[in-house]
Amino acid sequence: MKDKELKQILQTGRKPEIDSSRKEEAIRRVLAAGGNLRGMPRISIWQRMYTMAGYLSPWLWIVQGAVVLLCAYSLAVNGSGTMPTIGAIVPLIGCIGFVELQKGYACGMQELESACRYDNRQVILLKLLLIGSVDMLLTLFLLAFSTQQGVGLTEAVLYILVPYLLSCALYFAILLRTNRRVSNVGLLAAGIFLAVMFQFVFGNIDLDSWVIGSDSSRWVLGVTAIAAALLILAIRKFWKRIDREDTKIWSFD
Amino acid sequence: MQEQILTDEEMIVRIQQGNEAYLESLIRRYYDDVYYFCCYKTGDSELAYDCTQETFLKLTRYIHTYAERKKFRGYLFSIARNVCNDYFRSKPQETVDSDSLLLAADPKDKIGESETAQVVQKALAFLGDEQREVIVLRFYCDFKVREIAKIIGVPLPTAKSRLKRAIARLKEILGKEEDIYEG
Repeated sequence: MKDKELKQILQTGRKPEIDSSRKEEAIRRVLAAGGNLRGMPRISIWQRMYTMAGYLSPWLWIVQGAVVLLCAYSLAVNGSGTMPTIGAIVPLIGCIGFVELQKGYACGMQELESACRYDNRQVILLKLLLIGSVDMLLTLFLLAFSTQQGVGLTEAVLYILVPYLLSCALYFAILLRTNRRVSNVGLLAAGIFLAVMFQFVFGNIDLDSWVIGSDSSRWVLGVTAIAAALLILAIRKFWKRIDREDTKIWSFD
Repeated sequence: MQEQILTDEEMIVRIQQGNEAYLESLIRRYYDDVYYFCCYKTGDSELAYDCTQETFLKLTRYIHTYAERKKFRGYLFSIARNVCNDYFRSKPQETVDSDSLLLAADPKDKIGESETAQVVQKALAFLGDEQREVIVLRFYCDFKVREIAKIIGVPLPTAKSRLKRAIARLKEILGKEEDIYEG
């Protein structure tokens, strides 16, 4: 039996009868239920971010702020000699943010979050923008503070910005690999691993001679560009996954 | 009203802006299709009315979060499918009664067609839920396999495989029926 023949056989007979009065009653009920449809006012991205900020844990900001202040204090007291240690601590700033970013998935709340006004993509995007913006501000603050304390810009970029960018790229990769269901302990372990790794690199490789060299700024620029490219690639892959999976199928169990 | 020339996505934009008239047009556009699907899926016309209404109620509730990135029809059928599945999860599993499947044969049809319709009813009842679902979506709702995969939430190869097995099973059943009638 060919497929066309099967299709003809399957479509033999009329379609089920629809009682028009029941249809009209159902439509009337649906419209009554949705009768309070009001035009959703346009909300600016800043207002959306402000609203989302209210849902983020205040501990996120407290802990990140404490880490940054600790680094600044250390810099102020010990000078540029403490830069390798700061470079090892910087990955933890991003780690704290990612714990908050994927909290919805870790706690199985993503369906609840996506049942609100915004879909899952928008919720994740708002969190990314918010946490990422604050993280970048904190990182730039550290950069600026370190240069004020007499640390060269090249050195500051190498020890602060590069670890931050690379660590964020790794965290995105972890979220992708684990389907956003990595535990907070797992993320913290990754952060600590990165801290140890950067401490090893900065402590055992004589970067100062490279940094002070005549081509140091180009070299550092190149490393920073690679780190930034890796981060952008990681964000892109993460976003594509979110985009693909946001299918709006709810389970009403 | 001008809604005939508006695409689904255009109507949804207007609905999200609070224009309720377009919601009614959208519901009327798809009510029959969703009802037929619920009928074929549940095998019960009464239940199909309830599931259809529930589908559109859920659509109304969540339409403000709908993002125009995929075909609306497939999205709507995803909701309908989940509504029907939720009903089966909450109620004791009953076998689909082949006699209650509503492939109604018109009394004016020739006798051969009437018998064929009954045979088709029984053949569909013999299929498992998953296989019947893909057959209904493919042959009665005219979805492409890619769309079916999205609706039922499986990878494309899985949807193709399921459809292939369902078609083979149907051919086997209908082939046996042919033998009986010809014998």
